[in-house]
Amino acid sequence: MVDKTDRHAPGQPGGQADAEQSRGEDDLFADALVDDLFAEARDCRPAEVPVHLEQSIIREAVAIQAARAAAVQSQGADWAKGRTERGRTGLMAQLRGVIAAIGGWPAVGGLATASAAGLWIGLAPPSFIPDPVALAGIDLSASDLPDDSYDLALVLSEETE
Amino acid sequence: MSQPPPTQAGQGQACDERPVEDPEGALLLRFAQGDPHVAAELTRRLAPRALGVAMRVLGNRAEAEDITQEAMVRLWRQAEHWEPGRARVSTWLYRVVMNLCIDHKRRQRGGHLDLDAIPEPEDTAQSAAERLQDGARQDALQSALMQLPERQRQAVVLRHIEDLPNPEIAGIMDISVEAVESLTARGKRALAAILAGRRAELGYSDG
Repeated sequence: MVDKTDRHAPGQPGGQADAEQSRGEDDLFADALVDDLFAEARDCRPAEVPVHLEQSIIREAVAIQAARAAAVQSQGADWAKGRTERGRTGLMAQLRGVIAAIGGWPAVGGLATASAAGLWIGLAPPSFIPDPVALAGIDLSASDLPDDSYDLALVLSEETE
Repeated sequence: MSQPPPTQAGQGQACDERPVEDPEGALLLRFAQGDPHVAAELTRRLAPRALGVAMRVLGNRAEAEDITQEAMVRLWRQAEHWEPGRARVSTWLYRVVMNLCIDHKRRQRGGHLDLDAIPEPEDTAQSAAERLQDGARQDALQSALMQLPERQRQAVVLRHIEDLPNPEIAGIMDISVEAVESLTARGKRALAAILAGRRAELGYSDG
């Protein structure tokens, strides 16, 4: 506690000048009082936090940290799962779907065999079936084919003889 | 509510681009990285400041404790988004506390609070000064503070009791430095006028 009496004695009443001086000194007194109270308030800091409040705040911190760690872990798992699921939704996934729809890989094997046989029949029809090439009026010989088709031309000429 | 970090100079002020020194900011980053040992240290450093300022602004210890807890929980949640060097953690915390105090007062008044016009009636039953055990003089100061409008009281508490520089207060209150100066000057004059009649009982004599 500070007594300002000795430092700021107010003027004696009497006359306007004295009144103004007194008023000014009153202001100084009031300012000094407020400054002293502020200084004492600063000395009161920091406020004492009750143990229950401190513990509660720390518990919240631990819980939030744990939740954050769990979320990060979960995000990692989701990322790996996402990669797997993305693999299941691409072009390969669609192809797998088509294959499954027609009966799986054995059906694909059968389909390939039938396609090859059809191609062969088309190129080299049996003797009782008219040759579509001849029907079209094309005289097919090895010289009509490009060089890199030599093998195919040879096969064709042999089969059509 | 997500609270954006305050700047150091407040609205419309040129910002100092140098990173601010902030030991609590380094601790908060460690907290965000999962260090389990820093929460207690951060609580020990920051909770007393939050509680002290909330008690002065609200004039009620129980309410100030609730505000402190809420502000600290927001700090933990904010940790992973913290941008080091932009502002001090303590500045951010003061800002959250002040906003929570305003929200609290607004709720108490049914959704309306005129920050500049309403003098605060003192809660004499649970005054902060009583709880601070600082006697009649601090009681008188708290009583006078509670008669100031909300924003004046906040500015005065931050400037004259928390001892913060005006630019930091501007950042906390989201106003200009000039506005801080005006609020603190008017607030201090009002306190002096309120306390002038109580000089004798506060240990000051004229003769």
